[in-house]
Amino acid sequence: MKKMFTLSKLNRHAAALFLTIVLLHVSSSCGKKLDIVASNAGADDTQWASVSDTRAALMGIYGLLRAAMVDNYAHWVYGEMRYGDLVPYIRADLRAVADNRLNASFPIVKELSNWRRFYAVINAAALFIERAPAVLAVDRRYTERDLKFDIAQARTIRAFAYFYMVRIWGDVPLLTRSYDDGIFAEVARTPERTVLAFAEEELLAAAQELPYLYAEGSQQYYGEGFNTWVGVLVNKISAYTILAHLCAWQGKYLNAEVYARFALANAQQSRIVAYSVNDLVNRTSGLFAPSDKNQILAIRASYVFSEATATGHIESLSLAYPLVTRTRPDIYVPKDTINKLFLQASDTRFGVDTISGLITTNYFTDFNGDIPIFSKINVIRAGDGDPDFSLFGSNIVFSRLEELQLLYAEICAVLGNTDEAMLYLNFVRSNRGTSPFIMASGSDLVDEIFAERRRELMGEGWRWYDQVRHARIKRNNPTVNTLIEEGGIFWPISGEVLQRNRKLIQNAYWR
Amino acid sequence: MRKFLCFLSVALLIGELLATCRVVAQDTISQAAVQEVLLERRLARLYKRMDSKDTVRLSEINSQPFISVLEYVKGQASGLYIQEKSGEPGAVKQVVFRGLGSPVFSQKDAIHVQPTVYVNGIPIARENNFTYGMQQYDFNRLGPATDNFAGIDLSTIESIEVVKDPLKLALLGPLAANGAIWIRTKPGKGGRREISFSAYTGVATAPSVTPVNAQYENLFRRQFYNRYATPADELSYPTYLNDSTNVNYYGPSNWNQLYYQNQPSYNANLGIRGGSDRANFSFYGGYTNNGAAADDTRFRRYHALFNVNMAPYKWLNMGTVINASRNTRDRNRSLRDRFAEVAYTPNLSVPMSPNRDVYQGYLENYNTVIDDNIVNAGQVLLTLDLYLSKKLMYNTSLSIDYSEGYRNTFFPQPLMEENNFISNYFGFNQRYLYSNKLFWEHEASPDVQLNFAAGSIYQEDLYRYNYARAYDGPNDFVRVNIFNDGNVFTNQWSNREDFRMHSVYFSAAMRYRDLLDVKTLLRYDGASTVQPDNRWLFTPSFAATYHLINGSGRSSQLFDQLDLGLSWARIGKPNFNSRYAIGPNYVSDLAWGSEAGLLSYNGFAVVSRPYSEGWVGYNMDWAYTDHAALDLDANLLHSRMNIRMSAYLKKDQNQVIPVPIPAEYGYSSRLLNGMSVQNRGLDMTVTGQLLQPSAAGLHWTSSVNLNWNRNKLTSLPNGLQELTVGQRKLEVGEAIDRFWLFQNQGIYTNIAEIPVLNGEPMTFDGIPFQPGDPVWVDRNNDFVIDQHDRVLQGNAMPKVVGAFQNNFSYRNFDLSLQFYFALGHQLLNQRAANKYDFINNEGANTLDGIREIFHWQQDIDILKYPIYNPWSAVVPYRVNQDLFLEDASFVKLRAASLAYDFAKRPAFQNRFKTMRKAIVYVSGNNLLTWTKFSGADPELTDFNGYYSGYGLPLAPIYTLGLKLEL
Repeated sequence: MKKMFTLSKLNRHAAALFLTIVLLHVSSSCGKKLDIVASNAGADDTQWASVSDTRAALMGIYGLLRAAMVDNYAHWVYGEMRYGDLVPYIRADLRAVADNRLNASFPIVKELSNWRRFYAVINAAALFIERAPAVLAVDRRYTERDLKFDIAQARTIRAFAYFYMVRIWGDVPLLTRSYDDGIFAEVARTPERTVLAFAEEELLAAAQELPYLYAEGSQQYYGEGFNTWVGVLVNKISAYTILAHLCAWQGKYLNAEVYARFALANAQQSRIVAYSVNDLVNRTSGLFAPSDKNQILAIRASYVFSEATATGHIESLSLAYPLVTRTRPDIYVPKDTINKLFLQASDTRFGVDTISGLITTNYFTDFNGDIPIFSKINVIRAGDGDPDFSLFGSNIVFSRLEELQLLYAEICAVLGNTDEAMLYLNFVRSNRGTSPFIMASGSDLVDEIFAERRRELMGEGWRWYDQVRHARIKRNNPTVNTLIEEGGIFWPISGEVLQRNRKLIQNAYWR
Repeated sequence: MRKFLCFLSVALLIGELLATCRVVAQDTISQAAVQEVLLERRLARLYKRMDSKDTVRLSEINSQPFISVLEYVKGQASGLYIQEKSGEPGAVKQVVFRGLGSPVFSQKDAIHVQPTVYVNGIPIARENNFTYGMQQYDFNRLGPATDNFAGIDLSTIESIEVVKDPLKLALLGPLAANGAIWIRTKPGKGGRREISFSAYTGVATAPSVTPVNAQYENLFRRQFYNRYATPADELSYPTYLNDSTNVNYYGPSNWNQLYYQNQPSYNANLGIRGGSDRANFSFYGGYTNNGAAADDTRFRRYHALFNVNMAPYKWLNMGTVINASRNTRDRNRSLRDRFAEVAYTPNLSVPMSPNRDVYQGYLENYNTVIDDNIVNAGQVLLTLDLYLSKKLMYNTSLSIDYSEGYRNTFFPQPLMEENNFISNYFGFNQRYLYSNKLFWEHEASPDVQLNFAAGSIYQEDLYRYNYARAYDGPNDFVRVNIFNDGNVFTNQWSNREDFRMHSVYFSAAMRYRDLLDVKTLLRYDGASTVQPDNRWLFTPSFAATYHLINGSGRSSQLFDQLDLGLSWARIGKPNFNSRYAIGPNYVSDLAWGSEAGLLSYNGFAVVSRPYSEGWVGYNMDWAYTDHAALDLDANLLHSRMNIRMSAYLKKDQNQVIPVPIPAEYGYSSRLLNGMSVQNRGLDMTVTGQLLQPSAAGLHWTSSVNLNWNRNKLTSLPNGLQELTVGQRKLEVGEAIDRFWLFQNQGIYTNIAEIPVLNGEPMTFDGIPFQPGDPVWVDRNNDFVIDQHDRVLQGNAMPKVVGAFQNNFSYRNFDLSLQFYFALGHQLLNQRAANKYDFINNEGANTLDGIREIFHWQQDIDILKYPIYNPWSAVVPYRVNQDLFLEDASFVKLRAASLAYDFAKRPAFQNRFKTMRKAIVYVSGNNLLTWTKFSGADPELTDFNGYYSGYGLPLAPIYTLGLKLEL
């Protein structure tokens, strides 16, 4: 009887202990333990709730644009390599681009025929335009003014991305909303003209809203002052300059004239001024360096913010020993080309005094070596970096005042306003220490303007598009004119993109 | 249903409690002896075996200098394929159970197909993949990149089982969806105190290679230049090859004397265990230091195991196990791995000199290098068995697994063009499991035995890392930790991933006499990484075994025992990416093709949709795997032979894969459920005692195990029939490990050979072929060679894997030999492709163009490949063509050992009475390889089947060792 009692007592202990554990367990596990907040991604219902969300989303659009323009050196390979002044030293892939063999099988060529990254910019901008207004109601720190600025920027960048793509592929699908619903319908290509008409409309609307300057004086923008934003964001002048280019590309020079004139007349209000060559190419304070100078449109990659990178910048292709450690550049301007282009000894960009043999060379390094190094853009780290650790922090300058002046000169020349054209051409020329253009010289004004662009904007991603516009105006470049007629000025659409959307048709030239 | 299970278990409990009171009241038997046996059994039950037939024969491997669990199980169980891609000690290894369940395109995919290793029931957490997000190259994971399973020393292991049975895997739950390796460490033991000591010393021997100098390289390149080079190409001929008077390159090539060196290995372990019938303990500790013959790589480990078990009451048994280890390793010094880590590629145009003295000078820079790789890992188990009655047992246990990795580096200026580099990594995996289980044995009738179990497991994982790196410090003397003063370029990253899972299950087993076993399991698993709508997954499993012939009663002439089993189980497959649980989400998407680690724009954090990673919608669901198996287990010829066969069908279903969507929405892809992969095959193990134990004292046991597997993709999301992912293609109906290749048929030597259609020559994607280009087969006869002309060819995974084990014993001698083989698979020789494609690789300054010191050897069969024009725009030496496809089958004599046990000698026994074992042995490892592969060792291939040539050789290691037990 006693034994029995002990046994049952033991089990009662066990049972009591067991029940305690079970109760503890049940009470702890019935919580919402499985609903956790992911720490490395934001959910739809937590996003778009505050000014920090809109700022992050806006900067995200710029970041995507940067990635699109520098991945595979896109801006330079698209803009400089085809029949360009910068030629490849050894790389077979870049040589294929230089010869317009854009269907070559090199990875870089294949990847550059893919437009996905530009559409990421467009999608992010559309999403911003759709979702940002909701923040106004939720976060009182977000003001009507900021919303207006932000949406105008998103629209400008989206239009810019369309313009950029049309220059490369011609007809591209036009999507004006984000379609952020997971459906992803296939869409066909929209005619170039329609896409650019949309872009023009958008830019015009955005230009009305965009300011000349952000956070001017005592004002703030996203809690930051003038110095944080100068040269970083798109402004009113940016929008008008893109408009001018967009019209010039289509040959609508009358419209282009209006936009360019407005931009030129009001550039001062955005503190956009012309620079001497020294101020332009200065490694630490020049226009390509992380300076506090405003620009018409540039993409930033500041070393101080850890955004300088080893790849993606033109310096990764163009620099070599002694500026950086590698022995040979990937691309360079041959001596013959330099000698052919820069004819005047007084040219502050590059000039050779035929008598004394003295060389002025702000654009090149080691001109007397085998291979001159194109060092106009040379921003190692913050500009003052030594050669042994070559991260590049240069801005991608899409447009600056000299570019706009020469564009305006081109427009005026085409429209027959020779005096105005000469005025702006000579404005740039005198700034560069070269003699003014005079009609009596016998050379053609338009040719001279494009020659000046070729010198001034070397390495800034304009050469190819300038050749196309020049050939369209003058019809004096058989190679390019044939390409224009046959549609060979456009890149092929990558096979991957075609496969993903059956409504797309390859550009005729590359079929 | 989940609630129902909860209720069921509570009801069960109450019912049994009532029953117990009645039973207990009637129970009057309590003899001391019975109690003691009962207690012993109960204590031993604290750490469960899985009762799997596939166990590692420890006696065959414990004379080998192995350090990882995966080395222990390699070749020991059919169905498990283990591949070592490098002989670097402590490097990660690939392990696959019964075929690939999802494709392995790159290193980071490997984790999704690997089984889980359980130590005393604690599933070891794997390193999370999230660091790859900021890594430009995925050759190694960020951090120490040490094998997760290198923390368990062989001397502490009591048993290793490979769990293959579907129902048992289902019992273990989603973590075991890809299989399980079940390890039990040595438990405490009552009775006489046992002391064990073991030690070995060994040497890894330097392999012999054929070094070459610049003359060889010059001759190699001249054949291309002489045939195809333009004058401009000649101008850019590498200067180091141009000058044949340069002794650094044209002098003696003897770098191998420094690179490959004999390296010692040693190890010592001490263990003690003992106790009483109420409490016992075990303690093991040791030190291992293993070197490899190449590049001065080394692995060191301290380990300790501590186990205490107690039974304060008969109804309360508890135990705790603490297993801890700390390992450090010296990693290889290849340029590729360093530059990939540094994420900065210096000028690669001039290679290292093949000269020993110059190389020595280079190695001296390593005196100031910091390259610390430290892993501290430990598991703690607290388990408690509560006997509510003899038949009703409740177990509660808390398991903790923690491992942290540190990697600190400093590379001084001379190693990187006068630019130094410093980095600090710290990351950890932390997992705890709280599990509760109620177990009830019930004898319904003398013939029918019933077992029921109901339980719940709650699991919480946390993965984190912090990483910072800085470049170009002022000098090599001030190695200040990561700081940011504006002059030093510093970047910092961190990430965190959570995973939580709650499972409830109910299982029932019925045994009818000794004829039939029937089992079933129902479980609900909820994971935090699955969207709330689909969070809970219900999975049932069933198994039945029929004992056709057994010891009692039915028997036959031939068979002593014959079992037939059939089982089917569905198991959820966990994902460790909480992004899937959110649905449409926002991330920071700043990276581009060649820059992975960007964090801001103009200094501001950014968010955008995951354009690069792919759209995640609101319909993400669980993936699951269905295992089915038909098993046969027979003992025959008076138990001298055992045959086990298992025909299996494994379907990994509804898995997530990136699916292409129109690029015009900006996304690289969309992640969708719906990929299903099927593996079917046969596991077979045959063991036989070929010589009678009694005959002349010579014993010979021979055993063959092999796995034959066939893999097939059965579906893709949205009914897609094929999917291209990078350089691989998935096609429904084909295996997922196939290569996707152009078919090479020689060379166009002159223009007349190039096919012409309507006056237009055949093109490669629009580029007309030229003499000097390869002939690729135009499969669709459209006169354009493009992606449509690539075919699925070869397999990266072997069709047959297995081992052939022989053990001989004669008197006190034991000899054991293990042959290991993997047959029927291929590899793509990327090493050869990179060497031949030197124009593109070196032109673009990519990591593929690096010339390592060990590339100064004849490691490629240069007679195999035609001389194409390397400048051609068709890229003639692209790796994805069958020109570089080679048979990767191999057979290895992986291990051999000869042991002598002094303890068996009567004279010895008389002097040392307590000595149970006194074994002296010699052993050899990686002794011989038979293969048709033209390179070094076909096993040293990346997990996706590409042979990069970077794997350090699995060089022979000879050891001399001692084992004492007293």
